[in-house]
Amino acid sequence: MATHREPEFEQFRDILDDLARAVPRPPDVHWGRYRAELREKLAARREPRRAWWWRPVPLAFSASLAGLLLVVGLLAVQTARQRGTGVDFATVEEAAIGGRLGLLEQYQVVERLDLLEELDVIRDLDRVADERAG
Amino acid sequence: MELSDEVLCRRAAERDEAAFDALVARYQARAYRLAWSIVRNAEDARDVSQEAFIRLFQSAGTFDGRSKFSTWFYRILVNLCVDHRRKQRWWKPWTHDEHDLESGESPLDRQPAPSHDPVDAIGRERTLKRLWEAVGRLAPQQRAAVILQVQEELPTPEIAAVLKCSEATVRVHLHRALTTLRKTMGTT
Repeated sequence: MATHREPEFEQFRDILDDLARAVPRPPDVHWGRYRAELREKLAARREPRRAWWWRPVPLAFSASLAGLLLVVGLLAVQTARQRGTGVDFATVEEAAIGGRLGLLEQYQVVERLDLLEELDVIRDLDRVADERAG
Repeated sequence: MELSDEVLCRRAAERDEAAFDALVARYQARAYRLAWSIVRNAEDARDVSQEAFIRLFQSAGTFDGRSKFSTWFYRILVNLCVDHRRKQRWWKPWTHDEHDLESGESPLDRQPAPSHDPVDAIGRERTLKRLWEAVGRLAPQQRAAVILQVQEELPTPEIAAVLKCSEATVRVHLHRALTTLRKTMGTT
């Protein structure tokens, strides 16, 4: 077992030696600029971060929008009250009945319409009465 | 008398900017080099290493002194690099070294000229270049383990502390990495 592992160990050591021999070098950096950038980034992080809605423009916009929605909502409610769109079914029914008022005035006629069906019988009734009298 | 890293870190935790600047000056080159070895892009390496210093400043108070400062700082840095690589790997081809693309010169071209036979040397340089390219294709944790061992010359317990895993896991990472490299190189 140990003799089997030995070549592997040697190969691994060679690979690590090769890697160590030729460690790539990164491109050069201007360290002054690097530190200046770092200071800028650090300063930016130190500023207290506000939620997006707490920043001046979005805040003004959100407040205006909320106010506008409130006004529109109140107006809509008020208009609905004035127009009576708060629908009262009794009122609707009354209006419908009012529309048929003429018909109601002639209700007695309507009530007797069924007599028309028996108009012939009624006419005949007169004749029957005459015949009985004669 | 030069203050130790640990003392500087404690002072940085108290918002002592001079102490923080001293730590930056002491570690900037190492941080940038290590970041570049993992992310393989100069601009990204600069950003990631600067981010590591910012995190250092923000969390210096959490350094408890149980490990060396360098180990603690490398952990922050390597985590950022590995995260960065994970974010990039789906869209950024990273088998190519940015520096190769920028200058047409490989990192090995910048190594000192060998003193032996130039023909052998060219073959050898190509082999070494291929070897480092193969390191670039390793999984992030394996790659970090190899770089920390080869480049930063950290012992296994310290690599384990940086990668926040057990020593056994570090050995597994290294073994898998070396097996892959050996396969890639056809048992160099």
